[in-house]
Amino acid sequence: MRQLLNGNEAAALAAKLARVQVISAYPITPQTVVVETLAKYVADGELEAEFVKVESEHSALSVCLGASATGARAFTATSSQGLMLMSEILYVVSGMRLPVVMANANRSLSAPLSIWNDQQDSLSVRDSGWIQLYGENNQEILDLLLLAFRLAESLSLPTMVCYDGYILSHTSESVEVPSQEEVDAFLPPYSPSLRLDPDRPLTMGPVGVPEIYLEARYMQHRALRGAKEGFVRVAEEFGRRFGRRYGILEEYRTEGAEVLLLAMGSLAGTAKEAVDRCRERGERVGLVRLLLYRPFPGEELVRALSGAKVVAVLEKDISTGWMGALYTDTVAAFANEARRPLFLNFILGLGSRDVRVEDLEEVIRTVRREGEEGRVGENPRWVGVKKEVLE
Amino acid sequence: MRLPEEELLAPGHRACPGCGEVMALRLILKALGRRVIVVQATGCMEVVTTPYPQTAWRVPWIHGAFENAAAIASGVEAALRRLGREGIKVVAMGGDGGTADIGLQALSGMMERGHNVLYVCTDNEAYMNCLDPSTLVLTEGGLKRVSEVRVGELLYSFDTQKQTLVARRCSGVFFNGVHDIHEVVTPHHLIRATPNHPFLILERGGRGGRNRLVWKTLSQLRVGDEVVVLKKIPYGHSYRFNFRPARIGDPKVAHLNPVRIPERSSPELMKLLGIWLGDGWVRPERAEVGFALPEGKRGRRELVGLSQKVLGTTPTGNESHLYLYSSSLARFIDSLGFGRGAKNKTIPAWVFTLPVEERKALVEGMMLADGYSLGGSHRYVSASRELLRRLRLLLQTLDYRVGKIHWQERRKGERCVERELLRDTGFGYLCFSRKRAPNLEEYPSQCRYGDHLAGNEFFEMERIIELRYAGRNQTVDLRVERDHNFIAEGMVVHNTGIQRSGTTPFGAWTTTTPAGRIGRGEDRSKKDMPSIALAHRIPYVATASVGYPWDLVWKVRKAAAVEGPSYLHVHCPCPTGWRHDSSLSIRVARLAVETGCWVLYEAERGEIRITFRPERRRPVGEYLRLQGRFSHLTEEEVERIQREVDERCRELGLGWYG
Amino acid sequence: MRLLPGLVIDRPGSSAEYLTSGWRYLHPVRERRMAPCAFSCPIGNDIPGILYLVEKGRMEEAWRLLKATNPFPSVCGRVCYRFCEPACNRGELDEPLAIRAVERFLGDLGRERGWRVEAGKPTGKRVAVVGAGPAGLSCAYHLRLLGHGVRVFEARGREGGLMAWGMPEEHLPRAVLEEELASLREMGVEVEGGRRVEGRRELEGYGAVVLATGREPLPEGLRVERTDEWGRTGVEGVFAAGELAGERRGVARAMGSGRRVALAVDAFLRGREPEPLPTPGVVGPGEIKLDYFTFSPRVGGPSGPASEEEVRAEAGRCFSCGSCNGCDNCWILCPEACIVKEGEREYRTDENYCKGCGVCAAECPRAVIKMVEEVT
Repeated sequence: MRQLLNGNEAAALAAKLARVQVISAYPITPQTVVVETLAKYVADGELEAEFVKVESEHSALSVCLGASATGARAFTATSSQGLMLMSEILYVVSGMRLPVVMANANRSLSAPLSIWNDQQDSLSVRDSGWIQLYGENNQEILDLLLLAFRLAESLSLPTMVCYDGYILSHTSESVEVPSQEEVDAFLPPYSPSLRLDPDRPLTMGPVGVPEIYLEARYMQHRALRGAKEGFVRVAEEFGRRFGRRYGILEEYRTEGAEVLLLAMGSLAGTAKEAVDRCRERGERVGLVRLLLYRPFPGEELVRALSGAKVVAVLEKDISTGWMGALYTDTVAAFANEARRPLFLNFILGLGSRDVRVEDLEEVIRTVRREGEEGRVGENPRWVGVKKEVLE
Repeated sequence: MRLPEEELLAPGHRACPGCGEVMALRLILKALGRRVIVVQATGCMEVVTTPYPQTAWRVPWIHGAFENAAAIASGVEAALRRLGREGIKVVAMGGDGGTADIGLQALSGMMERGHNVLYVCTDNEAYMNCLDPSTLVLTEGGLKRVSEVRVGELLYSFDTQKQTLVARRCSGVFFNGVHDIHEVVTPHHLIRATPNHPFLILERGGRGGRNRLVWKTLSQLRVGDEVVVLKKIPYGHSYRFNFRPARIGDPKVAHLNPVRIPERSSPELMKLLGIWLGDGWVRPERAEVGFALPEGKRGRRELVGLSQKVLGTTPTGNESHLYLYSSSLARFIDSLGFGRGAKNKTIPAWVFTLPVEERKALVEGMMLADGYSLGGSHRYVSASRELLRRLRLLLQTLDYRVGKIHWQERRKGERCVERELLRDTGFGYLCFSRKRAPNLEEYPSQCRYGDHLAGNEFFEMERIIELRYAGRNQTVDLRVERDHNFIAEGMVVHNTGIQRSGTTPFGAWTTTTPAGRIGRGEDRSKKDMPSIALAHRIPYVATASVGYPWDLVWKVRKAAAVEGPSYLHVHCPCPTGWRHDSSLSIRVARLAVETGCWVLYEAERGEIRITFRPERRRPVGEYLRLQGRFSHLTEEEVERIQREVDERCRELGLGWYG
Repeated sequence: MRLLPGLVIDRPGSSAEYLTSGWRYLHPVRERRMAPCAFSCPIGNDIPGILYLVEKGRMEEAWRLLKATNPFPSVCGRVCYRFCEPACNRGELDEPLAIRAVERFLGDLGRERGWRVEAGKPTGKRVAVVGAGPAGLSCAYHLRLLGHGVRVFEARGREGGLMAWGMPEEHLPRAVLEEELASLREMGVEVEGGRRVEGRRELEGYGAVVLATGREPLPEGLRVERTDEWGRTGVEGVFAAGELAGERRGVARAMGSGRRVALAVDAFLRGREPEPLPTPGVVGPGEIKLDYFTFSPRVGGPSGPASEEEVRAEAGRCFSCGSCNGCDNCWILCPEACIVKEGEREYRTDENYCKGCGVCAAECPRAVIKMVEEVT
């Protein structure tokens, strides 16, 4: 059934369809509507869940930790500062292998204070051991969240689905909403074998003595690596049931492309426009969009990108003082490859600085030129910086 | 009310001996039973109970982070409700910091939301240079193990200004847990201490420079360094025995056959005891004191004479043994502390307090029994290692030069002194001789070069000949007033307890509020957590103490029965942090309550009721004095604390009596 | 051992695999010590043990424990000088236990209920006791408990000695004494009244002779030179008890002497040396943890308790100095949870886990536990 939903509503609806049992979230722009919508579902009796109105995001994720450990399906949503505040517990949850699912409305990080969009927040916690998925539109928000529950619970790994604040969260789109029965068929109830239960007293979260810490971390890492295949399998089943196919990445008009753009999230939408315009002009340009960011699908990206002469990595984040996160991860994947395109990093859209198709066309032009010259200019390049105001 | 026998917290956890927190945990679990889920904040308890792959918990338990126990517990409780799993109580536990400081936010949220969670704060106010406990320390009451020294005792100390022997008051005894121990060995001394323990060392100034004594830690010592050691104790006083001869009506008494039991020590008595120490035994149940002194042995004749003179009785016997039959005498000798059995003989502490002549007399007696002399060198043989060790120290106080203890093991069947041994055994001997005094008048510089303290009446220098690792062991340290050093195993050592006290250790005392909590010195918590809990209007708030286990159990059960949030604040002594003997944990906890420093109360729906009133409130000094962490307090500071406790108790309605 | 995800530990209580015994250098030792009351009692009654049973209402057991040392509790319960009460450590807190009143109650209850003590298994030996005063009768009683045949010779017409002619009626009613003496006969003690023994030759045929004639001058044929603390006179097989042996005047003292001598005679008859009575150190008042007890004066006022209810309440005031009474305090407090309750009044420390912290010893209200150095 089609509904007109903004990104937040889609996220809340996904949680409802997934029959989450414990919700704990603290409101923060631009995620607030998720919390409000879920609260309304619970109040109206549409969703049978415990809604724990916590006093901070740190406690929100802690509540989810406790609930998940007790055997309940737990969900939270946040953004930016909230994600930072709960960042300590992100690592604890993943270290304890609890399948908490989070919706993160990407928002810039303070300081300076910004309620607007970029992907700095979720990319700052890419090391936390969580599976990270990035959606391009509201349909994907809904679908990827449903996938996330299934994926998290089958692998015992927490998962966050990221979507651009305001751009997606507050924009309404037509979304195909599956029925509750369809979702129930896809997503069975959560029943972990390891949970807090007086009938089987377990100790969770002990001291990781030096003799064992390395192995524990390795096991977790290995499990997260395995999430790549896990995602493919689950997405495949999702595709069969719901008709919408998702993969680790999407290749848009990449056949024979000399120039490839690499992007995540709604930025890809704009990039697709630019690609279309270039293709109309006969330029061989394509786009690779990454859905699964962690675990990082190095092999898949190598396969998708090696054919090009030059790759422009477009991202809405910066590892301040160096390059963008997506760029450094991608380049690392190519470190030992014989065939390697030229890589250029473009930092754009921070704090919702508008990214127009024209800007991307300019990027493509630059990239092609430098690709032909075989020489990389400034790297990374910040798009749209108003040089006249710089001191 | 009976406590269930089942142990929900298994032994084998790594808590310090005498830990108050773990005692509280155990009692709380007994009060709650199996149907619980425990959520623990990071802290002592979490670390000591769950060293992977072992866990002491026999109930479900989860630990997340330091500041969010209350939030995790909220999640557990919400999940249980959602999943319809009833009859399981969620208990969140945190320490002082995890509750009142970093954990306050989560706790406040949990209470505000009204979750059905019992929050327990186990408050041990803990924050957290040491010797092996068997180290022998010289006190005015004699030689004692460092672990037996009591606060207030006078210890012998090196006055760093005048370089003489002085008696100083011991102001603290600290049991510091298990640490690495190293041995410092000099020609006549051996001491075991931790690497950070300071010794008094000579620092040579080099050509033209001055030599001076400095403190260096064991880890900084090198073989060849010269350390200050005790040479002689010229003081002493006759020891007055507090032996009570038996009374009529005493079924063990020998009312006939009277023997004069001496009231004080004397050289003759000490000599007699010395002979006994070497060759004698005692069997009080047979009223027998015996000596293995064959005819012709010089000691035999001496013994008869001494016995007549000191005890007023003549021993009977045959050609190989002498006996004195008197159960009073037997019990008297048994009570002196010399031990029983060849392997267990020792020299008790009080001998070290005797005057020089009496100490010498003891040694003479011993030599008559089991010693022999070769020229100017004497040798004493014994099967008791402890006896040799103490004799060595005794001789050092008499300014003898003493060698090391030569110990040998012998197997059963070997020949030893014309007889075959009936079993495996060991024995040793000790060599000693008179020291040749340095000729200070003729060659002062030369003498002082060799021994910086040459000519000093009490002390001298010795070179370190070996430094080695000796394993891990429990450690003890003392705090001594003024010069902050004492004499352990003959060496001058410093105390290492560095008190983390500001100039106003109780400066924030005035801001603590009616619940009677005591903070921790500089990092004090200024918050009255029970009152903060009360301000959230939760159904049940209480304070408890591990020193009153039944009160604690009662309150835990009451709190658990509440449908909604409850808060319990439990006072738990920490021997390691509070610097008191592990055995005193409960005493300290009870004194906190008996002095009014910690008040036991509960508040149901906001109405406070004191649950235990001491019959007579004791002065706060009794509580403070037991703990090393308060040993720096002056009289005025203690009085100020007393006034503030009085004020708080008055506010709470806790009088002086009942 | 395989890791579970998140390092979950699925072995509850597995910390017990780690033996913390190596941490300690002191370990607790439980030792039954002598209470000052028992120490002062010339007869050696196990007062803490008796009071424990009384408090629990196990009156017959209490009576039997009392009778194990004291043949005439109804007598002593009325006339004993109460050596025990001034020594009672409870006096430091409020008032000493009314021990004599409890003894009297037990004695009277025993008579009322008709409880009987059986003689021991016959040994075939016979002992002659000269003098039927408290010393002689007590000696006879204890010899009978040990299974020996006993014949008591009393020069006077009535037996009882000091108990018979030295006590006013209101102090010790004749009827009470008669019942007590009768119980002795029921045990099989033969008493020959009105028979004055002149010499030892009259007593040949007896395995041993006990002279307990008190202050009466001995006939020539019975004179003895000296005695030691066991009543041995230097003449083989002849013992002296009570005032004759130098004991001070007093019914309880005499009875205590009689008991001691009975033990010596028994040992002699078995060809052994007498076993010295154990004397674990007496518990001083400073060793009792007074803060575990609340102020409560004597039940029943100065004369003490009278009814069973009062007696039980009074017995409940007993500190039980030096004797474990199953208060569970050590078990409750042990941080290692390594004290096991093995019986009503019996605890054992699991040596595998004890860290030697010393809390059990420091908190035992009655000084039963002490810490001793670990022998490595």
